[in-house]
Amino acid sequence: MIVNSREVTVDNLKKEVKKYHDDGYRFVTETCLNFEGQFKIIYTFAKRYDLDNIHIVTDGKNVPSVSDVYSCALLVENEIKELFGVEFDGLVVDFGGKLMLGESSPISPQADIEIIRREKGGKNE
Amino acid sequence: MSEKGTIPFGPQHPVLPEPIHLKLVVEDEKVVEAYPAFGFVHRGLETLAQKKDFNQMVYVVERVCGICSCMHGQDYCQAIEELMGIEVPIRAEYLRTIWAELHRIHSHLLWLGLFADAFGFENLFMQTWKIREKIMDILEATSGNRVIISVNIVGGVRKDISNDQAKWILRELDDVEKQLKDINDVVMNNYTVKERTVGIGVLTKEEAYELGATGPMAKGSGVDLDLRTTGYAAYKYLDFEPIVEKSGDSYARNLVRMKEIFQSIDLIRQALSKMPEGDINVPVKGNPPAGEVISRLEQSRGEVVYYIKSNGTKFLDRLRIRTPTFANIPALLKILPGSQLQDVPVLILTIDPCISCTER
Repeated sequence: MIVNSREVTVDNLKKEVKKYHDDGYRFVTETCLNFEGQFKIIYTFAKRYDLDNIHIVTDGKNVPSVSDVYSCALLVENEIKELFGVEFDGLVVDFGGKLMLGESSPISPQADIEIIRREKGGKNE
Repeated sequence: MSEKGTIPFGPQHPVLPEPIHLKLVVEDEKVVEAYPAFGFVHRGLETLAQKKDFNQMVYVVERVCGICSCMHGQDYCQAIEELMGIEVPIRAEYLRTIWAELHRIHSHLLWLGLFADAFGFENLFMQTWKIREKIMDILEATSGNRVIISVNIVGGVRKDISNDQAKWILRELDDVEKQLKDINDVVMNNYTVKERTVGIGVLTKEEAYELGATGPMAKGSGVDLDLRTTGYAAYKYLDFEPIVEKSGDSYARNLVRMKEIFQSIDLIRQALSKMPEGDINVPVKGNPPAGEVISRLEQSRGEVVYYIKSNGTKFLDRLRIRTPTFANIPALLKILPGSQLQDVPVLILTIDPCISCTER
């Protein structure tokens, strides 16, 4: 399906997510995009086979965790925290940066990635 | 008086084909808490979408996981095709379905072998993997490869199945079905198998739904969700019902997978008999337009979700893959506490974990 997600404010996020929960939606996933120093986090829910999406745009600080509404969100929120450096407030279990990354891993490896493409004949491909 | 202790389980462990680490807090022999850690085989494949063009990415996503590689390629292609408004030929839809179901069979047989090995039933392990070889032979004969078969391309498939091959596949499937019926009784009615699975690791229907479980993990708990019923690829032309069990224990999850193998054989037979003649792909011109799309399909382990954001060039802005094992880990963390330490390997394998998928 083509994604037509609805933007919600960070302040309203928990209320919106709680509404999905109370309406019988299951949590599918969160998807983080990083562009121009900002983060877009898309929340995907499903009822039977129908998907619904909402998103927030944030600077990546003090994002309210929805893991107290959908406990299964704790894994993907810990993953986003480690791979993108987004800080979640109220994570029910915080792995402290050790869910996906090790001691010597790069920090926030998927955030603001500098893309270096192969050069062909002296020109960027 | 019982004492609390912590036991590290994995990342290297005899029952784990891939590395995952669990920190188990135990009271005597009883698990009271479990915390996971991944990342041992994280490859950053999602990031490659920004470096490889959208056609090359078909071959990258197939390498997310060896066991359901074909379905990763299919889901990715479906997403790009939806973005570009491409209609795939009907024959290609059938061919995708046939290869996907062959992958489901070999995935479930691989799991059954590993599961049997986890509690010391080595003969069952050898029998299931012997049967699985016939499926691998079919994959090799029809695609040129045993595991990563690379048949999907944006716009259809790149290989066809001839009438002679179809007849041979049907004969091979008859043989596979006969051998499976022989071991089905052993798998489902054996005293040891029942002792190790019945009533072990119970996940209720409400818990499965609330925790976002998917595939046999959810179906074994009575959640009747199977994305194939939405009719993607050629499933809209085939007759089948999702396989659901209600008891929610490890035995129910086994039963779902065993029944799904027979169901897949039936689906392949239906697909081969109904598959029309025609083209197997359409030419693809240009780049995907700017936009966002989500595509889903039912892998062996459950629902896989592809999110793609394109920008109008040949490179994608973002590829995100939510794999079924990632969705099933919260359910695993739910069933581990309260179990006996000896059951932990069986419970881990009961979700049919794919760590390559989880880490991408």
